[in-house]
Amino acid sequence: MVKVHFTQEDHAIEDLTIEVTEGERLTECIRAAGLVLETPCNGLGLCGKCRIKAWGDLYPPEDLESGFINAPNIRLACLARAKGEVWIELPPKGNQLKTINQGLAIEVVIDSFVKQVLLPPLERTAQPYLESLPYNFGSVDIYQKAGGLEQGGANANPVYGVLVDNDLVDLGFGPDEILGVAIDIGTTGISAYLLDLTSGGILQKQSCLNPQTEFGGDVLSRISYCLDNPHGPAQLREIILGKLNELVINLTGSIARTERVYQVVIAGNTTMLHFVLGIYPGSIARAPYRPVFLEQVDMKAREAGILICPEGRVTLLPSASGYVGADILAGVVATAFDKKDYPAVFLDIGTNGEIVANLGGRLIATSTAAGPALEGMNISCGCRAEEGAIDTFSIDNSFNLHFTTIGAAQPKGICGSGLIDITAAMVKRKLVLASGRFNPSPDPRIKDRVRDKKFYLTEEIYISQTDIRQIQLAKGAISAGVTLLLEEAGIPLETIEEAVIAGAFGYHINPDSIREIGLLPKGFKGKINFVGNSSAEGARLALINKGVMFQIQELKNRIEVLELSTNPRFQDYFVKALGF
Amino acid sequence: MDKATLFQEISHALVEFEVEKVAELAEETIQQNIPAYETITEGLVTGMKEVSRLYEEEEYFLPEVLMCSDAFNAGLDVVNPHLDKNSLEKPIKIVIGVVEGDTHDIGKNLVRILSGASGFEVYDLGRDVPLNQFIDKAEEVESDMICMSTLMTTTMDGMKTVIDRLKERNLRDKYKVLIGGGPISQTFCDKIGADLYANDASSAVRKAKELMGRA
Repeated sequence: MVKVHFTQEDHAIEDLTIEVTEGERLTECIRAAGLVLETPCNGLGLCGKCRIKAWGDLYPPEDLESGFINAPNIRLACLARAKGEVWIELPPKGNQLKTINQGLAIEVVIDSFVKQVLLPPLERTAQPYLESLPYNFGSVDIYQKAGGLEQGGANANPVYGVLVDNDLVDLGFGPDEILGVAIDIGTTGISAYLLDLTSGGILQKQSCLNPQTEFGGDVLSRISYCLDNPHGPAQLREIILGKLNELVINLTGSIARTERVYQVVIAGNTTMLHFVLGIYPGSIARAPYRPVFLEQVDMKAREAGILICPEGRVTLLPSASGYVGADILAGVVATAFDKKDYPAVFLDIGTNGEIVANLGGRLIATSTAAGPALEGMNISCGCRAEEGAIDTFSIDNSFNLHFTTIGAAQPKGICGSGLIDITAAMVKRKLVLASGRFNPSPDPRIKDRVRDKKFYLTEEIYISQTDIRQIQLAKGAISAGVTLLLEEAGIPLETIEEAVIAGAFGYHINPDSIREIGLLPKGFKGKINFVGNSSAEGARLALINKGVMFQIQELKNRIEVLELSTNPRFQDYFVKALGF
Repeated sequence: MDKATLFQEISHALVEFEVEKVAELAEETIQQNIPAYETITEGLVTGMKEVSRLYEEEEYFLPEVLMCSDAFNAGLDVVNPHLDKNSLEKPIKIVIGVVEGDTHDIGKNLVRILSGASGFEVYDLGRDVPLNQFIDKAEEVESDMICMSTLMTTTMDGMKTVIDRLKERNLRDKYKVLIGGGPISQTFCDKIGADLYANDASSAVRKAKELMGRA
């Protein structure tokens, strides 16, 4: 055994020491110590984002690792291994992820499954009180609560019950608040709303990073973790439930006890929903990409492991396929995209780009492997949408650069929206040519910033030729997906009047940049609208209105799903869509 | 135009993906009774080598490579009927496919195109290929190499299975195993005991030739 000591740059940890087997990878040491370090590629040594400070007796870096490290004592946690006593300094705790905790959505009236009803007073009869009521019940909980009423004696206070559908889930002197929580579990971020189920109003909002990012930044690497670790599904379930319960506690905070929450509605991509239930998701990630379940799941909170009223209900919204999840269905309904009376497309851009087309009421969906580039991953100076990320960028007519960073902080990297702006500006100012190749002779007013096929925004932050290629692959996949979807339906691109863009990608992208880089196929002439986190909005609406929940289920049955990767024409369209 | 200039022009037109010009120039080599194999090796293949170099240096990207390969094929179609089959050296034979469980095949297709343009004899098994099929096909056609690709981390272990089965069948030394794809790295290649890893289609072809002593 060898000793590993931990410290953290912001002194959040001091003097933590554990013992590990000689040869253990540093990521394993960090996990063994109960600490967290994000490993976006799940330890494959591909992304280089798990750089940490480590010194002492370490095995020397091999070629793969050496390619990522350039300073003394800097190592990749996923590749470096402890030989003897080792010291590790972890980076300061991550900044809050900037997620879009709101979305544009339709308005609905309150008509929830959860209702508070005034019950008859306790009469002087020999018949058990509960058994006189016309509702389903049967848990020990409810019997105990009925007993509690008896214990209160001949109380003049009115008795209220809380119903989910026709199930009596709570009982007591009242009235009191009835609350619900709507959650969107994204691969990267989680957003949650606390709702008053009497009025339908939003009482609190909260968002956070999905803690599963520790096991891989994207869906596939987390699934791979489960392939390699038999306890993976249980582990990922535990970690997400821990976070959801923490969110429920934070949301209810000073407002009410968590037991006053009676329903939690969860939207998310198909894999995230599998993890909520601790289900092995391996089959989603192998052709023919079969999930274990798609239908809506309603279960008791007790069974789900969510700490609200134990008899309350936890609902996982339905998904359409392994890669067109509940998040998309919820978003489509929340934005009334399915009701549009003109041809339109709906895009949710992440590691997978999901696309839905509404063509005269016919809804067709697909998903395309865009890769994580547009989220700032796989990009030399890419980062998440966190403090210091360059989020907008332009080059003016005199070739001066203009950019902003999140929190107006010192620039530390480039996030998705910044990346799209930068690429668009480079295309517009001919720093890259239509083929995507760096222009060997850029305008003299800016050529000092271009060195060695890298465009320097600051002394440290740049975009390389490889980065541009990654962006081309990502946008080509999405653009080709749209083209193929429309072709399948026999609808010309020119007739599409609107592109609705959802997702954490957010409100902040410049629509002109989207057009400039050709994220949508050339020839698209419609308007571009951003709707933010429409998945969370869908979960919210389904929670306050049954009709919305039925609409999502109905959409699940009606939507057609197209698999692109097996379509023989996809490659042609993809290659054609790579240029700018 | 003399022979050397003609080859240079063919190579140049190919790199500039001028499909028709390559075909016209190839036609001219026939008029001049230049042996087809010389046109292929010194004109067309030389051009594709330059394309590969440009691709590796990121000057060219998928669309350019595909257009160049169209130009290559246009030239090949013209001279092929005149080819004396005995004049060419025995080609490197490869069996190639995307491993079982994965249907993403664009990267694999690019390797097929470039290796074909380098004179390889290519047996493409397609995508989502049952693992035994790699070995069975290699045995059937007596190939030199087995090439496997995948885009997904969840299917990459299939490559190891193929290598293990080769060992079980006492065939491991008979074939060189080349692997590639998004999540694949040299570390993974070493770990599973494959012979060669390439991080793009062009270097895959170059490294395969080196390994077979044909560089």
